[in-house]
Amino acid sequence: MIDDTTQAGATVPSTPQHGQDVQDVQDRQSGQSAPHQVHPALGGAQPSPGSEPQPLAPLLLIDSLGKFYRDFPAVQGVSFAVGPGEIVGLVGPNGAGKTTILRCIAGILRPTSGDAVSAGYSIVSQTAEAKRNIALIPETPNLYELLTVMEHLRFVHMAYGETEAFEPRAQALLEHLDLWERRDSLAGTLSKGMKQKLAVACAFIHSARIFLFDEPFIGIDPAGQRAVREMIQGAASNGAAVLISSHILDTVQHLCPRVLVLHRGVLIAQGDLGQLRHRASVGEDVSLEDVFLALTRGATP
Amino acid sequence: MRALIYLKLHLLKNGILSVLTNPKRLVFAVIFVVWMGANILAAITARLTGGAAGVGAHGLTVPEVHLRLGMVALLLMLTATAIERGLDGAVFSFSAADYDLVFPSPIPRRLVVIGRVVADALSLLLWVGIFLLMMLAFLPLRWEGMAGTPAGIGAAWLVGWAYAVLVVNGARILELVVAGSQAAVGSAVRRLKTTAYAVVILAAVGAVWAISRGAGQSGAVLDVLGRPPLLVVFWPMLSVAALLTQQTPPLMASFAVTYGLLGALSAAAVVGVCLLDRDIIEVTIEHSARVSRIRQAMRSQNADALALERMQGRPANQRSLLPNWGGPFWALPYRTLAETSRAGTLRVVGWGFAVVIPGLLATWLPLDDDVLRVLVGPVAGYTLFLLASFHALRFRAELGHIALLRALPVPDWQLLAGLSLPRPLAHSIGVVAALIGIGIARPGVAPDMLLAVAMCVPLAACTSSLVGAIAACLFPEATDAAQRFFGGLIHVAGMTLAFAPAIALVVVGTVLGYAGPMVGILGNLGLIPVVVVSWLVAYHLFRKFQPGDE
Repeated sequence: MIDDTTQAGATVPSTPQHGQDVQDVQDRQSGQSAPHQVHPALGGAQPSPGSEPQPLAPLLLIDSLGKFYRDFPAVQGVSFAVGPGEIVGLVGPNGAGKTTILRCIAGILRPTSGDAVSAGYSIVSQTAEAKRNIALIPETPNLYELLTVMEHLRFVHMAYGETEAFEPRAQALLEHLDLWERRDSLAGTLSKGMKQKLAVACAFIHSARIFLFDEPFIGIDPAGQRAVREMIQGAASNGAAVLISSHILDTVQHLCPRVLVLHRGVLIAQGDLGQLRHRASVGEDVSLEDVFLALTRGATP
Repeated sequence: MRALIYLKLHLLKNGILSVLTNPKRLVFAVIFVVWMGANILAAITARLTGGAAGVGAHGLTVPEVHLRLGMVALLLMLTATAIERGLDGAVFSFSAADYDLVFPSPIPRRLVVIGRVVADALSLLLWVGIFLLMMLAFLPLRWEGMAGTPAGIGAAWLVGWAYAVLVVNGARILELVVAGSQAAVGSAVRRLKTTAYAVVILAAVGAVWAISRGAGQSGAVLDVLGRPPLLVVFWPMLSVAALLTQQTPPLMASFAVTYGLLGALSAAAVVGVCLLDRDIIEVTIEHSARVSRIRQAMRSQNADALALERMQGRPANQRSLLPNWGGPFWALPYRTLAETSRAGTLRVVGWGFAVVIPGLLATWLPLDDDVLRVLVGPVAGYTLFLLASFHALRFRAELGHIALLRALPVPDWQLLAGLSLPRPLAHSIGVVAALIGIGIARPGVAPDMLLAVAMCVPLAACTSSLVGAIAACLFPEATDAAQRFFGGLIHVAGMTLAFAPAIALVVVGTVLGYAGPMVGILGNLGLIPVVVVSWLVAYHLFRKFQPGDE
């Protein structure tokens, strides 16, 4: 049983987050990097200048997404949307399908059914264009051990066909993440935390509009966590859509105004903390952790 | 495309630099290059002087028909292995970094796959060349087939390469097709695999049987394989083997048609893989993740992780093969047996082959009985040496969870015995079985000598395992390169010292002309005090060992 809050797009904010001006975000959306062809699921049109202010179209739209591994349904009929400037948390027990959803959105896995539309492009039919707008930060930083820090960034910059100057952007990123001194070190010689930071840097070296984080804070020192948190919030305040999958519910509660709860491949609830408390029939002062446990314990998807 | 080229070039550049700047890797690289250079030089010298080189210099010759049949058998085994892996979805694998950095990027998948197939084809070209050089080095050059001439070497290289590309990419096509419809073809896959195993085993047994009865029979086997309908399956292998062993170059028209067809098939296989890339990532993701974990485990010498990977995916009916018997004393041997029983059918078959192969080689190789008699001891010793490295690796892994083991209601001496002795004893049974095989296959090789070696094997295996345990207790940290190096050094030096008395006594006994059992007893007399001392030292260190001592 899924309540109203789980309908795709129902909770996409009609106003930008973090004090962002509506017109700013719309300008960014209709800027040079805007898609030439908008996916029909988004209505197929951008707001024209001078028209009535319309609710912002979601940057990320997941439509009845399903993924089977042979006979096993990892994800079934998941629908949700993430608007520009929005940070959304994705939580669920182990094996709930969180990573599978992120991988489907990122185009690593092909959905068995449904679609993931990123910045107007379908990952199924317009794969390259959709991927150009997405940055994925995986849970385990898998890097090329024989590539240096700087070479990783250069490779990703080239792979995404970036035209913006590389050097200043790379330097700023590495300095922010405290990796500048190690720019010529091979990735194989870095500690786990540094590798995680490098994976974050790789995600931010290109102009993504949708960020997918899979447990972004695991293995990073407190200063690094703060730096990554600032980058996430900075991306959102610049109009990017951010989806964070994590088991650290305290972080999710503080970072994500809206949370999606996944259980056995099915989206069982979504909304802000108040809506989730209502859905779980718990008190007004309970934490996300208690809400999560209440929702997943009794859920029968 | 630019990004992929950048990636490959920088990986190659940094890989070369990492070898050049790491003394340990550099030493191995230099040894390998010198060895290869020596092989090439020997082959050229032999050609220029018209003489023989390598093993051939010792007057050994192999009939051409034996060589050809042996080569067909080798190619058959390689092909069957490739097919088996293709059916298991274990041919294609990408690195974990590829999954996180390349596949989410806008670089088209087809481009990634084409790049990979081309890179693999180039890598195969290199490996086939190395294989040919090894053949030239080890095979008697008195036999002057096509491989004896520069043109023949070049042609054999190209044909071998075409065959390897065909097999690898054929297996990949199989993998993609089967994995895409796993549910529908599940039982068919099992039947196919069973058939593939049966064909390989029957072919191997038949070939050995034929060879053991002389060249005429080998020729008969080749004739049968070369007739329809078997020709359809064996034609590529027969062609490659024929080119390598032909005394005179084949007719030009036939040559062009035969090898042109092989080249066309290879090219078609490559194109087929590139066209079938639609679900290539998902097909390979599970295997790639496993390969990645295995590499990580090997790099850190984590024997537990390696064993775990081996067991992954085994059917449930292989998890309860052993009865629940015995008390705490038997807990560790029980665990060892349980782990071994989960190694999988292919591995068990491999062990079976390892036991049988020495007997087959003794039958096949044209070695004099005297030469074989001299070789048996050193080869058995070298086998024990190799196995000892494996035992040391396992023991070091056990020390990683020593706290858990000490919590068992088992005294320390039983723990040490359970951890260090069952595997060497099991392996020594295998070595003894192989020696018996040699004895049966070559009655001319003095049974006395085989008996003497067989008598020494169990205690020698226990000694090497205990020395390995000592080294592991002294340098337990597998992830530390320095500890691994010194642990290995102590192990090798310790085994050399430990075996010295036994070897000396065996040599004395042989020189004095004692009978085999007497030589065996002398060898054991040399080993018994060493086993006792090794046990006492290992037990002392094991008792004192505390987790975190490193």
